[in-house]
Amino acid sequence: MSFLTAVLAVKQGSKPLLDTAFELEERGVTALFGPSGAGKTTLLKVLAGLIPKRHTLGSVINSKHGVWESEQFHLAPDKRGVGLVFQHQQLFPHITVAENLTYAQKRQHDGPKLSFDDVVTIFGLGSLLTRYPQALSGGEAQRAALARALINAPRLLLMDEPLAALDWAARTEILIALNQIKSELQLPMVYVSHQWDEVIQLADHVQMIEHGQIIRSEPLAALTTDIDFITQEQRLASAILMTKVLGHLPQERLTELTLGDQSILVPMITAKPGADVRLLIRMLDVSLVAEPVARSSILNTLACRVAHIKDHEGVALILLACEGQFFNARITGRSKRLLELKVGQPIFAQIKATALNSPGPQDG
Amino acid sequence: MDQDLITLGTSIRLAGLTTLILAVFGTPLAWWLARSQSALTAICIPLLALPLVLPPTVIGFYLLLAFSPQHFFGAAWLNWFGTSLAFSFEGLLLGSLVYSLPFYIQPMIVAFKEIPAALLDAASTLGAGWFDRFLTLILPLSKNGLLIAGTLTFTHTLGEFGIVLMIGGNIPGETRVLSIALFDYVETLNYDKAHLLAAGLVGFSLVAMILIQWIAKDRAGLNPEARR
Repeated sequence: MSFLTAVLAVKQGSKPLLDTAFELEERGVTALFGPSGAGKTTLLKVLAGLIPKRHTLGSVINSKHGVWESEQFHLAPDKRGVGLVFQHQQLFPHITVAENLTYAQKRQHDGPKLSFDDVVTIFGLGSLLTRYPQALSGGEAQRAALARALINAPRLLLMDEPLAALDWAARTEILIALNQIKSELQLPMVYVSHQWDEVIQLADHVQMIEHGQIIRSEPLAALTTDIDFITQEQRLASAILMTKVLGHLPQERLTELTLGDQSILVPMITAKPGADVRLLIRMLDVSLVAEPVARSSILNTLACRVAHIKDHEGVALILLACEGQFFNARITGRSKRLLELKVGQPIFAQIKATALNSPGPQDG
Repeated sequence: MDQDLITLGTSIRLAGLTTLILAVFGTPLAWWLARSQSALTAICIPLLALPLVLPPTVIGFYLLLAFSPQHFFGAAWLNWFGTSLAFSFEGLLLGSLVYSLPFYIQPMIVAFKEIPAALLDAASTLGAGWFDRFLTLILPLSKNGLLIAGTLTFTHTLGEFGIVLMIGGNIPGETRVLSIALFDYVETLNYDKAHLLAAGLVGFSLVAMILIQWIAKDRAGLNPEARR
């Protein structure tokens, strides 16, 4: 069932910003993926009610809470219960982090609720509560902004490139927190990004937007198994594999995951047997061997097939198919010759994998 | 001395009421001028800034004409309230509102323009309605502007001379204010009393300017350095 349906045309002056139909799933994270200027931010602003009626034609209808926008009607943003987090500073500068949180808590909507202590723990704000926003780093400010949006108990959370201005470490922390939120709350979320590696770490559905129009809307798994789609340049650097927890090995502090008929060991995570776990595989963490190596510090070797080869300035990007899913390896042209790689050939991949719903980024 | 105390009382009452009324009506007006996309603001902003550049006597002259019962406004006032505006405290107050308006709204427009729209959007989505945002965000974030605008309005009203002379006259306890009293003392060569008033006004204005300086040095916590 969809949470919300919208048919929208937004103009600024005579310039069309958006002209599309949009449907939002009730569960999980929907990524809005597309280039800058495609209309992603405009779409979020219309959903939040921040674009004045005179610029908007069309309707936004929420399946539970009724009409938000129509030809005659515009529901004010403060009545919609839509949480919104953007890329830049949005914390109130005249009050502390704690006061920013209580501001939101006092005005709670009727969406899924988190306690003050929960959001402080999830976003690691314990030592920042008495600080003023100007004394926070970019990552800290963004964690506080997300915490503030969530403690407000929104019915829908919209995030507009919340990680774009942050370094890699800060992004990873926040992605882990967001994955935790996703698994704990029945809260529909929209995540706007033009970074494919962020999208695959968080999204369940992907909607691609270009020139103000949604051109494709699919479950993430449908895109990550679409060779034409993932062999485009900017989508090669990392991939995810959808796995399930088989069981835990507490003595060795490992968790065994299954990917089709194969198994993968990762540092122990909290998910229960049978739970879905998303593994992040960076292309630089994959090496290829012709035969499985019996003794190696790399725990995991997966039997794969070469699905696609792309030569690029002395290196070869090898797309590997494994149990119907795909990930990439980047090897030198020399290694490619030594291994005599051809499309369709069986090959073994040694991987370092990061389980995304584990408490921290860890190598396997 | 009694005379001077009465004059001081009239001046403070005039400046205080002017500041208060402008705070109530000028604040929303400044908000509209700072935020509206309307083409009307392109006319309103220069129009409302006119008292800054016009000779006070010009404004006084037109106000005097408007106050006269021969004109629509003055006649209507006489009809409603049964008194004439010219040479009355009410007339003086109306005049002060006109000529002090830019001193109130200009700093407020600057202060309001500095509030990022993203903060107001964030507050809206958190469930804060218009009045809530005004009280919890707009007022605290423009606190400096408010204090500066209030201080400027008060001191400027206290010191205005030209317009007061044109529309207020010099009625003790009614329209006789400090700047006029000072002029009278000088004309009658009563330099001792003139010194007292002049030095008093200098002292008061200096305190006000120090206050503005002190406020402008960011007491609102908007400067991270000051908070650490």
